[in-house]
Amino acid sequence: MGSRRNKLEIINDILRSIQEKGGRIKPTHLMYKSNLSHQRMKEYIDELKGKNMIMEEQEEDRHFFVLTDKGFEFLANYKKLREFTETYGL
Amino acid sequence: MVVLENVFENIITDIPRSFWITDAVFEFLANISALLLTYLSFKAYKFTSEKKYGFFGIAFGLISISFIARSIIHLLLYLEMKKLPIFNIVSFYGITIYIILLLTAYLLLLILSLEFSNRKIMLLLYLLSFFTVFTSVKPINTFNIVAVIILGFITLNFYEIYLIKKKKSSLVVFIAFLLITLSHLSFIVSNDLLFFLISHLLQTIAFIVLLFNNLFLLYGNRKIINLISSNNKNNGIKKKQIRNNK
Repeated sequence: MGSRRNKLEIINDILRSIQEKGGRIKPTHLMYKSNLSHQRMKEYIDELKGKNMIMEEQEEDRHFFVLTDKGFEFLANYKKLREFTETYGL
Repeated sequence: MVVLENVFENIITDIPRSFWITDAVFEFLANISALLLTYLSFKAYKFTSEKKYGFFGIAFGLISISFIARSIIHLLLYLEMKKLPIFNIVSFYGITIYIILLLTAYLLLLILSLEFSNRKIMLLLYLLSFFTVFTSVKPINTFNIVAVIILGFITLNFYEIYLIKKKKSSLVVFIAFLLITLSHLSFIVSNDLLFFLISHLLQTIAFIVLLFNNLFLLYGNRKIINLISSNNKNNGIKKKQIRNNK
């Protein structure tokens, strides 16, 4: 069994899941790809929306989560942040 | 050996002028190192809103400001202003700020290392440390003793991180903090000129090591190595051109 993911890793997994789907993803797909419970995913989604890293779009009767520029910025910097976190044990 | 008596510090003043400006330059590099860590921490805090990143950034921000305070005193010594009345006032406030900020920074790092969550214990640590330092006969010596104790625990924590992660960058951080701990130990006996110089040297090496480590974190090993080797190549090409011209 793998070790628990920290917050940085979970955010990366969520945003990368959206990126891999061309920058837009349905909520149910995101839940399966990010390997989170519905409750936890909702908490992270609310936080990421608050930070403008993702936004919600509606197309007819379907909802999508879309990656924003800030979300892309996180993905670009993730490797550096992960290295920093691991080096200093944060 | 000429020693300038100050409320907080015996400042050795018959060291050559060149030492003070050299030390000021290295303190500037130490500042860059601390500010890089502040930048990385606040970037992580911006994305995650986790307080530990914010506190880590604040700790190194305080370290940076404390070095600026000390640099100002060293700059005045370089400019040979020790005989002016303003020197005593500036050195008094400079050393006070240096002690307060550095002690706060080390305590923040200790709290992060030991993962304290109890605010009463945090407050107790702060009050004990500050009152111990500022009510003693020689506050700067007591500060260095307290710093060694705090840094001992921080260094041990970074050693444990290295044992778990097995990363070179973690080993570098452990070595840097070990050097910082030893520098404060050396500062305790820094009325002796040799130990005074050793203290500054150890601290300088520690922060330069951290600076390179942080640059590798930001830009990756290849870019740094390419930058260094391209400078060496250019120097080689220039030498060839000079030989050909001759």
